[in-house]
Amino acid sequence: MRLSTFMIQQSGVKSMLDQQSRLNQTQLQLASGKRILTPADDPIGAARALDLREESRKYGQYQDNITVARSRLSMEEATLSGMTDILQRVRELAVRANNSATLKAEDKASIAREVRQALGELVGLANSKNANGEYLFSGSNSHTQPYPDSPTAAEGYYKYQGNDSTRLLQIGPSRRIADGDPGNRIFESVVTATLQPDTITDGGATRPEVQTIPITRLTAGSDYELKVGALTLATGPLDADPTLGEIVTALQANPAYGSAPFTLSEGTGADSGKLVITWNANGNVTDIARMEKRDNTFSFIDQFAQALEGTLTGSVIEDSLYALDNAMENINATRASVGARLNALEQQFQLNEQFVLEMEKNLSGIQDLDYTEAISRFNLQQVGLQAAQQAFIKVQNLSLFNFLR
Amino acid sequence: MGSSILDIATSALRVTQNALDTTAQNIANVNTEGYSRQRVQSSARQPQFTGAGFFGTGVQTTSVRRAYDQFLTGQLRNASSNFSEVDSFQRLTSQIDNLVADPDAGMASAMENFFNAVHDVASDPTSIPARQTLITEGQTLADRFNTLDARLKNMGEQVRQDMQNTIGEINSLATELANLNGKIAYEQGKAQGRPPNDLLDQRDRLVLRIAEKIDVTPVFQDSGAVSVFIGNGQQLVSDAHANRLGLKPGDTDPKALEITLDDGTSTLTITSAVSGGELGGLVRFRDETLAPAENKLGQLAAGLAVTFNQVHESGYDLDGNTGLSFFDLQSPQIPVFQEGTGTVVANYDAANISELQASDYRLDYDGGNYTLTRLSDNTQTSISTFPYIQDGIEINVTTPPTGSASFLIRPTADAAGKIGVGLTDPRRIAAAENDTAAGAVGDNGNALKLAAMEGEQTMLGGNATFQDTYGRLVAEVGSQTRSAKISRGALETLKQQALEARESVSGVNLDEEAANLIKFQQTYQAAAQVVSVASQTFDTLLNAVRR
Repeated sequence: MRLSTFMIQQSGVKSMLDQQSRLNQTQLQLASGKRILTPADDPIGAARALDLREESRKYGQYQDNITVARSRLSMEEATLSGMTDILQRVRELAVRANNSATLKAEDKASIAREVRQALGELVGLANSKNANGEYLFSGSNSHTQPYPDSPTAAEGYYKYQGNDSTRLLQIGPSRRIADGDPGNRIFESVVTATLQPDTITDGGATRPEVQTIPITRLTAGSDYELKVGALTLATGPLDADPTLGEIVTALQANPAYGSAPFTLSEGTGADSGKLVITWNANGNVTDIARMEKRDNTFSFIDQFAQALEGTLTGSVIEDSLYALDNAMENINATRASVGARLNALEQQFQLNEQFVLEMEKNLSGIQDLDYTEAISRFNLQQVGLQAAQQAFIKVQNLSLFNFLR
Repeated sequence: MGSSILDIATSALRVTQNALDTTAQNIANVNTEGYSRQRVQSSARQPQFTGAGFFGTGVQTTSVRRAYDQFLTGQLRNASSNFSEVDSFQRLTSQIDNLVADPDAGMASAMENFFNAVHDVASDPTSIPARQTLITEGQTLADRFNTLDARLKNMGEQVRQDMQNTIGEINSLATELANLNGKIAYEQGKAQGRPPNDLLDQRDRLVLRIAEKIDVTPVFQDSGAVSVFIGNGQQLVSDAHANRLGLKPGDTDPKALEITLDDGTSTLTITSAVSGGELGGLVRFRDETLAPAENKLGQLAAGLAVTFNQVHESGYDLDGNTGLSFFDLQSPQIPVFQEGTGTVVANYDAANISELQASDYRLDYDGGNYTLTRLSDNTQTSISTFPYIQDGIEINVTTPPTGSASFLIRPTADAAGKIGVGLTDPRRIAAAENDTAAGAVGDNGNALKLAAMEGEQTMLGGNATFQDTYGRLVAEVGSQTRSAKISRGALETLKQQALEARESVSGVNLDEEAANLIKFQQTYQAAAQVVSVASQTFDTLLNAVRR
């Protein structure tokens, strides 16, 4: 084909420009370490890379959440462990108070002082705050102190001020975990005494059966639960040392009372101070009624101290070992659950980490440069450009006019 | 007899001089773009009859012709037109391509940071710093939407400017061509049909330059003049008259410019007929890349804002108030442009926001019936009752128009530019699911729901997450740019080949000219020798007579 001088020059320049732009592309890839410089280089890859980055970032956030949950649960565990130790000490004091039949008043007073000391520490721990200034044990009322520092005047006991809700943290795509436990699930409803009927009047075939339960301790904050067979009637915590009448009214206020096969009343005369349970129907009653008195841990220890100080009568001291064991059991159950959650966090952390690693690997496969390939390509392109430059110079020197002299 | 040899030699000298002049002209124009090499055409003169037969009387120059092939020139013109279109298209598209994937300007990282901040509030619902961070990250996200939208709008402005400039150039080229047409017709007439080569080259060059701006169909006439048609048969240049292209604001949306052709008596709108060349590339970029990208970005902004607000408003803030709107889309949420009377109000419909489409809508009223047209696919719906809900927007006619009217509703075009954060007080973030009035400030139920939204498929009819939606935008712009790059490469090769083909016929080769130079020089020398021989012969005769 006939070539024009313009074309010879132009195609030489063009081939150099092409080589240069290819070299430049490779140079940019080498400098950034990325195979995809703009989405146009690989539209599908670019979109996948966006997806993967987002996904791996999300898992990073889950890991952050796990770290937060772990530190909170560890703090809860440490606090509860401290409380168990203190309760253990109170229990030792209770053993001493129970064992020596001939305890002098001043000995009791000194035990009481120790118990009060321990109670202060316990309430202090129950009111612990986390690093953000949120109370550990008040549910989602996290800016409300869960327990007053001493029994409040109106209610007369350590009344829980928080609510019954837990906060969940997202630790995996479909996994949430509670970062704490509200105090009412740990310190409340400790069975401190079980009261049995003192008389059971068998009704025989013609008269209804009557059971009477003496209610000896009427303390503020106690929740009285009457259990008859499968039926449970509870009063809920009652403020300010209730009377027996108030307890009976509270039990009767239970919705389940309407369908109960018995009626409740406050005993009079010989039955004064007793809860009287009278079955409606004639016949054989096999269920023995039982009344559980439940208190929160702090109120009970307060009652224990009062008993030692002689301001509260009844069988508190005798009941104390049973009550303290129940209180510790409640705390231990929670500690077990916290431990299980910490384990679950650890496992989820490993799982997430593996997932992130997998995704980073995929991401790297999509967007990262194969340096070996790129460097050899770079060298090849460099040689190509040099060759084009030399060829250009050589061709430009070829002209018939050089020989016309 | 003696005068004959001198005559023949002189004619040879004259023709050879012409040839040398032409060679010099070729050499001089070796770098002139669009120049066609010229050749002197010569023929033997009329022979003289004697009794012995016919004797030659020398040589004459019949004409100077350019080496030219109309087919190859046409091919180059088409290839240039196609290349210019895809070149300007690719140049602009790759700007968006760089923009959406830029980690500093793209949306992906801003959305990631925003949802991270939501998670942090879920982990620490009472922490004021965490809440403040969420507001700040929300503002950054809104800012990023605004910036990206502003950059796209800026490109729209650039496209308008480019269209204006290109049309200006086309007009001045057309005028130049019309003038040249007149000149060629005059010169060619004067020369009794001999071609004014350099003017013809100029003419072809002008047609080519117009073709680089807009696809043209030239019609060559015997007079040497050329008529130029654009679009689907609109005349741009006819003989010595040129029509003018212009731009006018769109009927409903004044920002969408239309291309017009003014032929002196009427003005035609020819936007949809324009193809090829730089102008074709600009229009294609505006309609096929820029507008969809703006709409998709707006779709994401509006979808994100409305969905997020919906959940946020269902929660409670630190002080027990129900949640406010986190994102602010300004009022009215959806801009409506109109032609005619009446008032139409459009808002997002939170319940169906996942149906939101990246499209404009036109509501037409013909005096009796309303018709809604989705402009992305021209789906039409007749509407009888208002408010009317479709595709996640609610349209209401608050004042019915009197007489026919047309309303352009743009739910997604501006949303990315308008999005902002409505909250300033960190305590107002509604992280709680239940009423916090009782003091449950540590409740993070609603924050968990907000954080979970990033993984929920709430966009594109419930088929994509926010990040997916953006990913699709990136992939779409990316593949458009990629295919533009590929076809640019292919068309560049075609153009190069067309140029080579044209040059192989019309281009000047210096070696060839050097050879011609030698050839004509030798011819000239030989003819001069003949003159000398004639003179000597004549002298011989004179000397013989003198004796």
